[in-house]
Amino acid sequence: MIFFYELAVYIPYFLECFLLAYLMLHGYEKKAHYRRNLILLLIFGVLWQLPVSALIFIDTPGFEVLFGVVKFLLSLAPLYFFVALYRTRVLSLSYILILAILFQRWSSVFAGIVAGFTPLEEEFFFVRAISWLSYVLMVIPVWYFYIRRATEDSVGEQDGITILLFVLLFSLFEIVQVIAREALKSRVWELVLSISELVFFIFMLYQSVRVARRNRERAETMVSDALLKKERQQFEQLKQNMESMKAQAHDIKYILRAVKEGGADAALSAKLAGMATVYEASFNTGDAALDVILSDAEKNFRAKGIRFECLTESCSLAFMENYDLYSLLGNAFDNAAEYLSGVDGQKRYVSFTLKRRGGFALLEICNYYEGREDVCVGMKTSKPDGAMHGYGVKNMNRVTEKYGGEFSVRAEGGAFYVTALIPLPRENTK
Amino acid sequence: MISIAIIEDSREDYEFLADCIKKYSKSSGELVTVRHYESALKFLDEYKFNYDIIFMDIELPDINGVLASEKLRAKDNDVALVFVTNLAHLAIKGYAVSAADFIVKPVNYYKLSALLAKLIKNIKLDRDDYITISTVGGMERISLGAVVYIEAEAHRITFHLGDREVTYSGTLTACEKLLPQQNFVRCYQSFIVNIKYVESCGNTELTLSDGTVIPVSRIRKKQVLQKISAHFMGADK
Repeated sequence: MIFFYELAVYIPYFLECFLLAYLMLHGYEKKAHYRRNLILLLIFGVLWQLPVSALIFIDTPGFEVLFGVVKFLLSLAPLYFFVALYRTRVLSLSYILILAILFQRWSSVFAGIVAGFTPLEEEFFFVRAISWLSYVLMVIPVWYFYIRRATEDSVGEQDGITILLFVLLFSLFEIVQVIAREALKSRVWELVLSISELVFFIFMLYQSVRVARRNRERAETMVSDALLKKERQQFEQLKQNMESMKAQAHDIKYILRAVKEGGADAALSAKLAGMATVYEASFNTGDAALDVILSDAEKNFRAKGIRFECLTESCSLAFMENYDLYSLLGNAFDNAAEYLSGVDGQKRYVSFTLKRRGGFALLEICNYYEGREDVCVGMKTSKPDGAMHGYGVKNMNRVTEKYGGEFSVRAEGGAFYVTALIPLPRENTK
Repeated sequence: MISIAIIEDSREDYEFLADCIKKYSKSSGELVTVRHYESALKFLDEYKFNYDIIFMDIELPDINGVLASEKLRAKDNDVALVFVTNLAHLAIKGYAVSAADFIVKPVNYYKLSALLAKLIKNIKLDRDDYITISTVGGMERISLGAVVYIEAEAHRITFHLGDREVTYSGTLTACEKLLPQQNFVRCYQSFIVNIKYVESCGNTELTLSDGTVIPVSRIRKKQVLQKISAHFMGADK
């Protein structure tokens, strides 16, 4: 009979912690055979409670308290198999498990106190029922207000030392708790301990959210920087290609002239002339970097069957670093191409204008757009993989801000506009 | 009613563009009149500020469109000017013509209709912008387009118009409420500027097209830039 009582403690205990850990791990990337392994883990975890519960028959005079703690930890050991289900580190998982244990613990402590004030406190199943009820009542708000948000921030991603510190603190805390409880056996002390546990618990939540948020911000800058670096490399590559193409065009013209003078056949010279025009950069905006960027954009647009038009006024953007310009326009062109992949015919157009108005350069990229106009004002993304797209916009924003300018997007009259207003440096404005 | 002039030597191209404009008119419910000129010189000769939008072909026989536009700009700096070109990449030497936009032949209806929507919205905002204020000398009607900037000093508000000044007593905050949001912005505690006249923007000052320098505060600068950006792109909101 005592064995079944033990089972009735450990199985729900395991399941409660399992559910909490599962909820907190929700945001993590899943590994292969996730569903099958999840079921296996659940079944194994429940069966595992049989040997754990059987430990009740071992007599450990003098070490009951310690033995009790070991048993509780043992019963949760299968939760470590979550490592096989999600892409997470053992340390991060430890952290999440501690949070789960704390959540669970607090609900049972709470139940214990409540039961303590009723005459039925010795009724085993009555106490269990209150414990489950308080667990359910607690999981819902905690899930809604904390876990749901925290998973977005990957709460488990704390650094190793923080987690180790928590594991240590937590263990110490638990041991003190159990000893104190056994030694004092007083309702008042029980309450004091429960409250201190609650404080510890809140502190941990606070800390985890704070650290996670900071980590996310750091990660964002990192991705952003990596993107910038990639763009920089692409630009250098592009510039080299353009230069070699220009050199080739020059060669072809040279051969052509030689062929003409030698009176070679007209078909060959016509072919060569055609080649030369293809090779020659068709952009002559007066700004070398802009020529490169626009030629590349046109090539990409042409490959996708998008008509690309541009109007440029004389406005030197030489004061901007090449990769900044590339980042600004490249991202905007990519977004336009992305949107236009969903429409056909004449709707597939992108236009670019560079204007100079007073002491400002105005760059505008416009493409066909048929969505709602209000939703896209202040829009960050239209791509399913929102994150990367958002970084694109972030980079465009960053570039314009770097030059003291203003970046905006808007939809109006069936077109989508990306606009950058950049003040020209003083020496340019005369 | 929006009046449009098309300067285009090819009859066929003119008709195609005019048809697209009519199609836009029908679908948007916007009334438009379209007048055709085959020669830019004739157009310039007859020009009497009577159009809202001008479509200017670049490749014209007597005088090319860019040159014609420069001459037009010498007369009228405000009319919306749209280049029509055969070239998908048009690089204009200089920036004096201040083209509002461009379209490439053969005309893409979707591009044209977005362009017309943008231009017409802007034109309507610019029309009939007057406010009436009571000065010492009586009521005065001021065309807001002519207001370069407004300055407050000890409860005296001064409207700086291109050629004269109008002063009355009041507060700048009350004055700000009378002005249309899209063109005017408070750039400093005691200054409101018409963004149409902002020539350049430094760290702490704005230079206006008549050479006046007025201060801009750090907190208000972002808003000033936003409005300038919207104004130049014809998306006043």
